[in-house]
Amino acid sequence: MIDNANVRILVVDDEYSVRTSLSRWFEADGFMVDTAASAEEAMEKLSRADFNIVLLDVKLPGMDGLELNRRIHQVNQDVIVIIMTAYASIDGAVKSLKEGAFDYVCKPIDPENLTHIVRNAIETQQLQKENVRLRASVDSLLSTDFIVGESPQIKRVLEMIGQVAQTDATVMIRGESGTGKELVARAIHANSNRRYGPLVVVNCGAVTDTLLESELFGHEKGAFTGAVGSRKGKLELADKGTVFFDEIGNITEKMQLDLLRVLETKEFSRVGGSRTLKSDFRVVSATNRDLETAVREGSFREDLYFRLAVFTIELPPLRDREGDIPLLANHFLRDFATSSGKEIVDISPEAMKLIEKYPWPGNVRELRNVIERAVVVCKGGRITPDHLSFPFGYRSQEEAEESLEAVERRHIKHVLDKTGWNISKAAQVLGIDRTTLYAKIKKHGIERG
Amino acid sequence: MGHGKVYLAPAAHYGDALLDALDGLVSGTFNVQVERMSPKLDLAAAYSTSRHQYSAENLMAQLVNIAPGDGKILAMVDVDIFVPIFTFIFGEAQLGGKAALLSTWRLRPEVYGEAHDKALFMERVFKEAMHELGHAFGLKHCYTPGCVMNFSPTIDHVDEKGFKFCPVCTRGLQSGH
Ligand SMILES: [Zn+2]
Ligand SMILES: [Zn+2]
Repeated sequence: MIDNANVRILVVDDEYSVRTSLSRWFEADGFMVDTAASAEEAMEKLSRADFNIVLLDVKLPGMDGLELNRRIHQVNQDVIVIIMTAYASIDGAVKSLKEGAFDYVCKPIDPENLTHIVRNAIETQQLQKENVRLRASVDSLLSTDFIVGESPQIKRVLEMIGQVAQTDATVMIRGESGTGKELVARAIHANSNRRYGPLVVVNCGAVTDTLLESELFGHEKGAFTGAVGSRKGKLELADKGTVFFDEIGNITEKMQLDLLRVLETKEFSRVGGSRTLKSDFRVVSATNRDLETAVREGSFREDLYFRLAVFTIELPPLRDREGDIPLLANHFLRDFATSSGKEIVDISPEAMKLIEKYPWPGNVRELRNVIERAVVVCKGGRITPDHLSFPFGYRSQEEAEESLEAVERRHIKHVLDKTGWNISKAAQVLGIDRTTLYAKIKKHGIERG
Repeated sequence: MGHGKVYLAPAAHYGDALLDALDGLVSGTFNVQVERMSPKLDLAAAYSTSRHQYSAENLMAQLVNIAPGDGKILAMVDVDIFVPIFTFIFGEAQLGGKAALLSTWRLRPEVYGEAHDKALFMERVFKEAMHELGHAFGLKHCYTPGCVMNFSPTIDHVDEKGFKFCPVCTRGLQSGH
């Protein structure tokens, strides 16, 4: 419901009686109304405040209403102008429609007709605003760090987002750490019909079962030690919105079963509670694990997998995004140079060569970190290889012959050794999270010493 | 009895059944004492020869002059009234003021080519009387379906709504006292 108190109407008519009856009429409907007796006065008022609707008489002393209509639309396309005309001068009013007027009414005005036109006008304007908002959110998405790119791989991702956003189907986003999975989830939410509802993020990677349980379902007072008050769970909070399960591949078997039940019924109860709660949410999840293998090996429930992955969006690792690395590097350079106030023009060809060769196991996030550090140490001018600090002496020459797997393994081991196997520190250096690092250590069979 | 007074001022013959029922409705709803008076309105002075209708502005001006000082006045006329910018109006009231004017002319089924229907006419009069008095008691238009403060641009809209105030408007009336 549109609140009329937020709608400003300007009534422009040289007749006092028209100004007063229309403003009284609009005020009774709760609108904010102002009046002007001439085009000149109207322009003065329009320049001082934003009006949503201008009700404009054709015949005015001095500049007439049709000319004022033209001028208004030269300056502001968003104002809705409704022309008031006598039957005798209806031609002009019709012409004014071509010059941006929204509609016209004949004097004396049929109250039903005016009610109708004003309501239409407000709805149209609301819709325009929404479209602008939507366009802005897509634009800002396109310009967000992780999705900057021209490669066919990233364009495909954007296409997929557009396709699935409007549906209510579950979406599984797959990609390595640092590829921007949460951003894709946000994009899906922002372009869905649930965009005015909440987007609730649940990180499944970092917490124990009991914690995750109470986070998801909420708990009643005294449900467990430390549960001093009752708390709403994230599923409850996500009503009419979207839940984003990050690192869904990491949940335990018990949690998998609980989650499956909830997804089937959309019903649950708080920990320590008996009331059955209902919530209307859409599920988007993300994983960097190969869930198909996990399903085959029996560590992830097949039924849950199918429920979560009606659509799958694959986020390509940065090294596979043809041509995007220099694009992103320059994008981050501009960003950080601007925010740090440094006059850094570009990245030297030698430096760029190094950047393009590096395998970027931490993906876009790692690239961003490397450029940020380069900007910090660079005094101005251009970024050269000296400014680039790939983690702990990465040497591209030697590794040129190696497979990607081998490079990653060696690089990770190197970082771990350098950090004395401080997992948090190593993960930070690598630009990946701890869970991913653990997974990679396991995958590559990296051992201490 | 309530704190205020409302003068019911019929400027035409409506019959006791309608007026008595309206008395009760007004006093009960607004918690006021209702008094009947016959207003000395000069209809001829309000007549427009070009519109063949009666000027609501002229009538309201007359009404403000004759309104007793100790209450609000609702005048009912049985002629078609207008303000220059609109083809017609059902009524007019000073928002939160003392004078309200209701034309019963367009509430008659006969005006729309339908058969005389006393019950329907009375119902419409109650609704629009409550509506205009609602304005005089400070209420603006309301969008709650069925609420008497819904704006009714046509007779169909009048028939669609009820003659009661929704909870929000009721609260508005109470706080306005
Ligand atoms: Zn009204
Ligand atoms: Zn209401």
